[in-house]
Amino acid sequence: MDITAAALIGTGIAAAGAAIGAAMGNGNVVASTIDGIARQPEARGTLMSTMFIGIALVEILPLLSIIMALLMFFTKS
Amino acid sequence: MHDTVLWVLGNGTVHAKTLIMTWVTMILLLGFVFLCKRNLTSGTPGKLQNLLEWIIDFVRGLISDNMNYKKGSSLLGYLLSLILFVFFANMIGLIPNIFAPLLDHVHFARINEMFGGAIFSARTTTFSSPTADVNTTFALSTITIVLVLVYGLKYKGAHYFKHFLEPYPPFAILHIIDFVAKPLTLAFRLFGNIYAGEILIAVILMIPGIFAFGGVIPMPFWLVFCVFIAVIQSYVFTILTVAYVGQAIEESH
Repeated sequence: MDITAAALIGTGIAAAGAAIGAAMGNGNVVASTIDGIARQPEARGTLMSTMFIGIALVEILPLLSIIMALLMFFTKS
Repeated sequence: MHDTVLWVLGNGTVHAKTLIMTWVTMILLLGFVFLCKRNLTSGTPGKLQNLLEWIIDFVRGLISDNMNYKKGSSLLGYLLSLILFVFFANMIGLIPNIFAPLLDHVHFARINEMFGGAIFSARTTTFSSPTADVNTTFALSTITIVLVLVYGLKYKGAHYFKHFLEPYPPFAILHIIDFVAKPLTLAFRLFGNIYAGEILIAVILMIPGIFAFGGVIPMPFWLVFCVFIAVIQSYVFTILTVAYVGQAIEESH
């Protein structure tokens, strides 16, 4: 297996892992927010802004992984 | 991905495409704000004045939610420019580069290498966002961390550095990692979102189909999602700046 094929396989694994992790993390955040809003609809605004901060904090790790994947994809040699 | 065009200025080089798109963003932003403030009135505001007032109220709400408004009111001007600049910069990357065949003949300052080409070729599908360059986002996040230091020192004095040693001195390691990770993650979050969006636009247009227009059907969905991402990212960048500054000046400990 030459290094190009290894880089492409690594790209795929990194992208897949990023997608799975981001989906689970963001899903948990949003699910908990919906729970909170259903229990206490008047707290919607505060919960939503906290949710967006949480989503942004979760999202940085899959994005780093995606950047790594792109680097591997474009510098495969 | 193609080679970045570099302009040599003195001892350093600048990314020419990022610089030009930053200028375009600044011009658009200035034009927008001048349009909004043209018929300024304290009576019944027009549509554009309403819009601008809503944005200002929104940012003011962000500040007063996260810190004592009297302390943070001097942040309002910077945060307003920040949220508008990041939003405009994210959105400008979604505009199709319809001037590509025209600019292909401009050889001045290698503009043809940056923006020229056949229309809708994968290389020049859209203008590129200034925020799709990691240098721009790092500049913005450096301003954020400098603001954290300045506000911490302004309102707590030398007492500010004491929080690095809390609750016990060995925790200084964690606090220093936290301090370095804040601007790093801010910069990479914005850069990653916008850059991945632009890469995916180019990839979607490369989907094979009749006359290479196979991407016409998935494209609108991704563009709408990109607009959503642009709004969310400008909001998140601003609110995280406010939250970090608010953490630095809070009195509770």
